[in-house]
Amino acid sequence: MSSKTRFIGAVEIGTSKITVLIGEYTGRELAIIGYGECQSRGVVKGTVVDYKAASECTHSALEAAEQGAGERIDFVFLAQSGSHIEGFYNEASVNVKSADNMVSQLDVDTVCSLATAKELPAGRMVVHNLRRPFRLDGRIVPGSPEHLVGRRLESGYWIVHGQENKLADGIHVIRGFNLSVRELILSGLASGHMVTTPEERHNGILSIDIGAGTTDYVLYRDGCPFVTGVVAVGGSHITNDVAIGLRLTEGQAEKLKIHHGRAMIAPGSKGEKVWLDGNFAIGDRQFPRHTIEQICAARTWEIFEVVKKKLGPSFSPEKCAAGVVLTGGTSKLPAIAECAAKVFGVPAHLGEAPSTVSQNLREPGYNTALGLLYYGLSSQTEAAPRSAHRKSANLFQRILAGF
Amino acid sequence: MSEQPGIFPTARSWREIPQEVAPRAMSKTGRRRYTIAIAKVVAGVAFAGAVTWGAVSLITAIEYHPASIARADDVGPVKPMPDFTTDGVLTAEWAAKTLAIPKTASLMELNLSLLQSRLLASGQVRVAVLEKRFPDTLVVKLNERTPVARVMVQDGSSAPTMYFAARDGVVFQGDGYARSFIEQLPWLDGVHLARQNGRFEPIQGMDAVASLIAQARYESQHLYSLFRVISLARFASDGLIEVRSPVCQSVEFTTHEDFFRQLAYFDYICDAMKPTPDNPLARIDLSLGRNVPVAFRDPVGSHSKGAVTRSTQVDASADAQHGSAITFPSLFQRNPTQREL
Repeated sequence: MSSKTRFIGAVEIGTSKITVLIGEYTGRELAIIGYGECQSRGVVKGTVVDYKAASECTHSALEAAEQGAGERIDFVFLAQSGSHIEGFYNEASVNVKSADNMVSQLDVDTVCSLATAKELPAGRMVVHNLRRPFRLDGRIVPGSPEHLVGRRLESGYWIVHGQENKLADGIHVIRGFNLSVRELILSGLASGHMVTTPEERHNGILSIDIGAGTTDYVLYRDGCPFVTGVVAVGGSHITNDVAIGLRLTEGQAEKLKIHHGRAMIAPGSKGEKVWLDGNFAIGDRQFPRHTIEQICAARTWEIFEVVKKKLGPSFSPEKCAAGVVLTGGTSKLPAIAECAAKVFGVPAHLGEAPSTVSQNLREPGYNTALGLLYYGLSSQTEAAPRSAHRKSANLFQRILAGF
Repeated sequence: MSEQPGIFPTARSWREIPQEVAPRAMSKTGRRRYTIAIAKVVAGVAFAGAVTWGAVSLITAIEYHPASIARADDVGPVKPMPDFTTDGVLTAEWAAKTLAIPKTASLMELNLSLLQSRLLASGQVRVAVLEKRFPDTLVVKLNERTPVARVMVQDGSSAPTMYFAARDGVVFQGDGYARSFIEQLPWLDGVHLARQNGRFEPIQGMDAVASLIAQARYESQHLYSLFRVISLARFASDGLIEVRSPVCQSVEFTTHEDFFRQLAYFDYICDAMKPTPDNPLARIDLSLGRNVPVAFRDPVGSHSKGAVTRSTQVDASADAQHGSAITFPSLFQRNPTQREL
């Protein structure tokens, strides 16, 4: 990034709401200067299904954020979620070429290219190539292996890919506002980056972002994203079950869930009744608290079970010393951390944004948008020196070739 | 390595998704932003083009047509007559005489501030704009004051001299006015003129006088033609303007009320009393609202010791012997149209 001030928009097109944050990045510091939010329409399970409705909502949020900031956005970091997002692991190894067995940049580039060289089925596109730590003769190298001595260099990538047309839909919504998408970032990665510390990521932590339509998870190990995934269930499914179970409308069920729902059944809730509205209006009625809690707890438990099942052998309590961290709008459900701890068998806690973030943006629902800015900028900053180094190396090689 | 990555199979990245703007896919706000962006680009290109064109033209002129670029030190003496424009009566000759530019002076040598101060020294000029038009023309644009009244000034022991007073109170000698125009201007009386920095200080109350005269000229020219002397002697103390005319020795107007109504009363009284220069009224006081005291001159041979004031409704002609106060109906006061008069 250059030292010129940039105004970056972080856009999360979620199932329940669309959030836009504007960050003023001076090259050294990032300040949040604008905020816009709009109730989402035309988005189901994190995927745009009604272009016009989704565009209108997103553009309203973008316009509100720009008006609040008093600046125009230069480019956008867009969050990507949805059940079409998948990932797989691919690794490669090379023998160190130099005679003294010192790893060169050429070896690193070769093994990285091999590890990311994997053809995808038609209609699939890479969203992220998440590199796991290098291994040199079997030992883990946290940083760059260049100039280290060894015989065999191994590298592995967790490759995140998605459906081309669904990725394009989100990008086109932003382009409809005459803005370009500079980075497409997995929602779980963005929120995970925000609610975990480097130490926790090094020790191993599972970040679960439970939104309205989807649940994104990222398992960190050795300081890197180890496995990512998206489950097409979220808070709206709990609401839906409450609505069906108690024969209520979605709005009424959502209200009951927010006010009386729990991810674990409270011991003294049996026999207790709660009012739907509590204002003694016509149509107001009572429901057993125990039933509401039962439905919420069962569905929450199920969500975590699905995540655990999808993680498979990648997740083991021994390699997840920092436990589970929960974020997203549904993480506000009482006792959800206890539920997660029981399912995964490790300590669980609610994620909090760093103390540098202002109080009004410390709600769990904003972690993805905040993470977009921080993760997007850090990934760009990392990419910039690498590309500069590569360009200078190529130029140097060309000069050498001339002789 | 530079060629090696090409041999590996590569997966397509999301960055390959085209990000062109499809106008049909844009919202109203998006279209507006897009239009602004396009306009900015067009403006930028136009500006760059204009700068480039200007630079090319300049270089071409310098290289191939150096004579077409007038050099500042090549300008000749300035034309004796300026390119003169005014909204008043002054002439180019007056301007040339006032500016007093030396015949050999070039345009570069002229000090426009000094020349402007020479023009403004005559109070008749309100605004003077001077402009150098190379190679040899001085452009002068004037905005003049219009005289409202004339005033006779005797400065020390010198002979009395006629001056003019403008609406803003500035007193100036005036130049170029037609005799007929000057003769119709009323004389100003009851003012004390003081000099400061070689000029008379502005007369207070001229704005009110100008309004009264303008109203009289616009509404009833025949009344205005009777205005001979306007006195401001009681302006500062009572807000009164005294007008002396052949048909009435003193008509008092107040600045606290509308001049239109006062003029209407005056007109009515003139119509009702039918005063003549041979038999003028002594005094009409229009400063008391609906009650208008009118003082008559004593008829020849009468032994009356002064005006006796009586109140009457409208029929003033019946009391037109010694003195009376005419009370105008309120309807007339509210809507003094000509029909009601």
